[in-house]
Order: sequence, then C-alpha cells, then structure tokens
Amino acid sequence: MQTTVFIGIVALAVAVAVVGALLVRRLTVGQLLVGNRSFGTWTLFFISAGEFYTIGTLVAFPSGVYAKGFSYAMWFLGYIVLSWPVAYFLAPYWNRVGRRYDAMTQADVFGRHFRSRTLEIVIFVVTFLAALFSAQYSFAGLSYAIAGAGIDISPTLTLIIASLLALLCVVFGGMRQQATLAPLKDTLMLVAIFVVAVAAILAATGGVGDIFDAASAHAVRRPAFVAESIPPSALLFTLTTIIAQMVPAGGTGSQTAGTHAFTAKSESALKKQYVWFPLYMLMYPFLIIATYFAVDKLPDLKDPNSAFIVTAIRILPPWLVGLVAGAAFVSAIFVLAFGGLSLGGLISRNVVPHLPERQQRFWVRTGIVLFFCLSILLTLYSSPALLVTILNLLYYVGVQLVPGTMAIFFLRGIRAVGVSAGLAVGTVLALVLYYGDIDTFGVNIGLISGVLNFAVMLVVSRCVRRGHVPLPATAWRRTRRTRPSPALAEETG
Amino acid sequence: MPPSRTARPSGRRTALSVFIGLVIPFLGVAVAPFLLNGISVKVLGFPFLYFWIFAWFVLTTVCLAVCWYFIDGPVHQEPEFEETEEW
Repeated sequence: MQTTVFIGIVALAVAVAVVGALLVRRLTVGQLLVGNRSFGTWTLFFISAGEFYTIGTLVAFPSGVYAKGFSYAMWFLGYIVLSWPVAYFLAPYWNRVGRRYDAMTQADVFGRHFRSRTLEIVIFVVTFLAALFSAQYSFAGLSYAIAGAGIDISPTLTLIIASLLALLCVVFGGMRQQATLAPLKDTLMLVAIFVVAVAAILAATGGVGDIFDAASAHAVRRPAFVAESIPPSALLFTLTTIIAQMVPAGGTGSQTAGTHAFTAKSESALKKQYVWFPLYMLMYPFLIIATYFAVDKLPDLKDPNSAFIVTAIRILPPWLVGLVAGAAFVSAIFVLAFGGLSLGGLISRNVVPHLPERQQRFWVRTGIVLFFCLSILLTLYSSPALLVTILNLLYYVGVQLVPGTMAIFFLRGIRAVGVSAGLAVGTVLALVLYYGDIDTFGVNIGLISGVLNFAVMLVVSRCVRRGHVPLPATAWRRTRRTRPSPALAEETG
Repeated sequence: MPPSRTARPSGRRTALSVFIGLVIPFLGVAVAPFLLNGISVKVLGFPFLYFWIFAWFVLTTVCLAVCWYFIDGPVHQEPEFEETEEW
C-alpha cells in the first residue's frame, strides 16, 4: 500500500509540473530561466519556500537533532530564521542588478558588473562546486525516501530515476514548471511533517512534555545530546555557524542565489513575500516533536539520517508512510530540478555565451543533464556523512560568493581581480580546512575563509590597479540623470 | 496605504528599518539564547529555549511587517536605473 501511495504522489507531482509547461505560450531562454521576470508575491513565495525547505528539512534536520541535540537545532533554526531578514534587505538588489544587466545567472551579474570574462568563469566554477554539494545533499536524502516507500532498488538506479523525474519537472517550461509544482510540493511536505508529529503526540502517553522528558533521559548515555541547553563546547560553533550561514542563505551566496530574485516582477513583490517567510518555519516544532519521539523510542538507530522516515514507519499506517516518503521524494526532485536549471543557465550563458536563442535552450538542457550526471557520481563515490555536515560544506563554499556580492551592492573601489583572488583563496582554504580535518577551535570554517576572502578582495583591489571599477548598485539611483562628476570619472576609469 | 511615487527612504529611515528588521531578530535569535541557557522551565511542553526560538518565528515576521508596512513600503519606489548614464 505504501508503495502505491508513494508512486501515486510522485506521479501526481510530475504530472502537475508537466502541465505547468503547457502554460508557457512561447518558450524563450528568459521564460526558461527566470519566468520572464513576471512572478508576483505569492508565486515567489511558493518557489522560494519550495527551493529552501527541501528534503533537507525532512531528513537532515531531524538527523542532526537526533545525533547532536539542541545545539544543532539552535544553529539550524537560527540561521534559517535570520536568513529572511537578510533576504528582505538584500534580495531586492539582486532583482535590480538582474534587470540592469539583463542577467539570468549570478555569473552574468558578476561578469557584466565588473566587465570581466575571467571573473564570470570563476563565479561559474565556485557556483558549480556549491551546486554539486547541494545536489549531493538532495541525492543522499533520496535513498531514505525510497526506503520509506518500501521499494528495494539499488542506490544508482534510485539516483537515475530521480534525475529523470527532476528533468521532467523542468525541461519543458523551466521556471514556470517549478512555479506550478511548488504549491503542491510545499503542501505535501507540511502534511507529512504534521501527520508524523501528531501521531507521535498521540503515541506518547503524556503529550509533548512527556516526549521531551523521556528524551532527556538519554542525555546520560549520549553526552553531546542535551535536550534543553547548548553545551559549552558547542557555543562557538553555534554562533559562528548562524553568522556564516544566514547571509548566504538569505540570497547572496547559495548556488541559486539571485535565481528567484531574478524572476520577481518588482522589488516590492520580493520584499513583501519575505515578510511572511519566518511563519513558514512554524512547521519545525512539529519536526522537533517527531525527532525527540525517535530519540526516546528508537534510541539506537545506526543511521541518524533515517530518524524521520523510521519514525514514520514505526507509528503510521502504511498508506501514510507512503505519503511521507512521497513528500520527501518530491521535495528532493523539486530542488534538484531547481539546481539543475540554475546550472544549465550558467553553462548556456556563461561557459558558452553569445549563442543564438535556440542553441542557448539546447545548452540549458544539456547543462541540466551534465549536472545530474556529475552529481550522481559525487554522491555514489563520496563517503556517507551526516546530511547536516554536507549542508555545512555547501555553505563553506557558498559563503565565498558573499564578499563579491556585497561589492556589487554596496562597495566602491572593488575590481574584478580582487573578487577573483578572494574567491579563489577563500574556496581553497574552506576545502583544505574541511577535507584536511583541521581543528578550527569551534569556529565555523565558512566564517574563517569568508573573512579571509573579504580581506583579500579589498587588498588586491587596492594594490592591483587594473581593470574596471564599477559603481555599486546602491549608488545607481543617486546618480540618475546626472553626468559623471570628475571624481566618478576617475573612479570608473 | 499606497506607496508614494515621489518619496524616497532617508538614511535615518533605512537605519531604523535595518535595526527593527535585522538587528533585533539577530539579538533575539543568535545572542539571547546564550544568556538564557540552562533555564529549565517548559512552555506548552517544549523546553524553554526551543519555545524561545519558535517565538522568534512569529516575532521576526512582526519585525519585518513593521519594516514593510510602516517604514519601507510607504516610501518604496521601483528604481528607474535604465536612465543612469555612468555604469
């Protein structure tokens, strides 16, 4: 029964996405990548939520809390809730620079703002790297959804099927298909979380408080796990991770940064939708209830990543387990499709630029397929890890885009060579610290490498006086309808 | 209230908006829990710190709503930068 419900839900989602393609009258690259910059507040809301709250919410968050306790919940919830105020203030600038430069990708913006083809390629490389980790994050979560569906197939086949379905969700109409699928995906995910949490509360004899009391007893056996406080050893990591991840998550550093901002029809539409985003997080208390129920009733899970799905299997009837697994699977293919579309756009516009419209569309689709193939290989041949660790790794790379983005929005005197040097130094340092397993005394690797990136960008821009020095976006309105002053002429020369 | 087509946000207005919309939520979410660490009261069955974080899901929305509906929105203008000459 659970398999039937699972297949039905996945089929429904793919069908809705394909129907979304029928809404596209004339498929242009602009329609494919940014929905012709026509989306209003609520379409944006569902797309942004669909891209942000994914299988990571259903699988990675419970696994982190199950394994590490409150400190993981603290940084996870902290950086997400704070990312919305960051997005409220910064995302409109993405929309502004996107229109100004007729940009559909981040690399478009960087390349045109700094008038540097080299920087465009550097941005592509860093973005591609972050997108691979993001895809690994989604792909790794898929196996748990398949297990919940009661389907016994190999990991490779799981990933191939998921890729093909994700392709169907994006290849015909691009962003419009995503906009059509997003409300269904969001609804499925909320329902899945709600039913597991309610079942857990009903299964616990004394309600919510009883679940936490029972889970607290396990703190004795697992010193890292304390139900109601932050262990002193985790204080520094928690605070620095919130700071390091809230800014890129707010739309300046992730691999899809700017993508939904480019689709907005206006800056006010973007701002208005971000006002309501923190309320979407009211699903997390339900997830936490389900997770602490697992801590109490399933304390010896060998794989913490399976905490949410195994809890669902334990307390729900088969058809509801199928629904939960289906919701997780649809969440994963939605974000895979979104990531693939972003990367396809990067390849068609920034790696092989200046092509006719028809060939651009071909390269968008080819880019999506290449991206899925590489992501599958990375997932199959990398060692398994706690999913939230992959999330941290994704942001260690994603945060490297923040200094350059800040330069585009706010900073004067920054040159392409400085941004490129900062990005290279920051990214290499982040990967060396992570893969070298070097002790950073609890400070988030992304924060360390991001600060160094910022410093290198400033110093190199100051020392290597070569290349165009553009005005930041915040200075554009002030100079409207005026001729360049001598100072500006010097600055832009 | 429809946004004025002529007014622009002043520096002071922007600073107020950033303080209410970003600084206050940051202090509430990222700093305050370290000061409140160890409180063992339960609210609605949740440990206090969990409840505190959940409360900020609502309070952050309140802060952003104040920013948009009372500070930024009334003077918001869509930029017309295509007329800018130097870029």
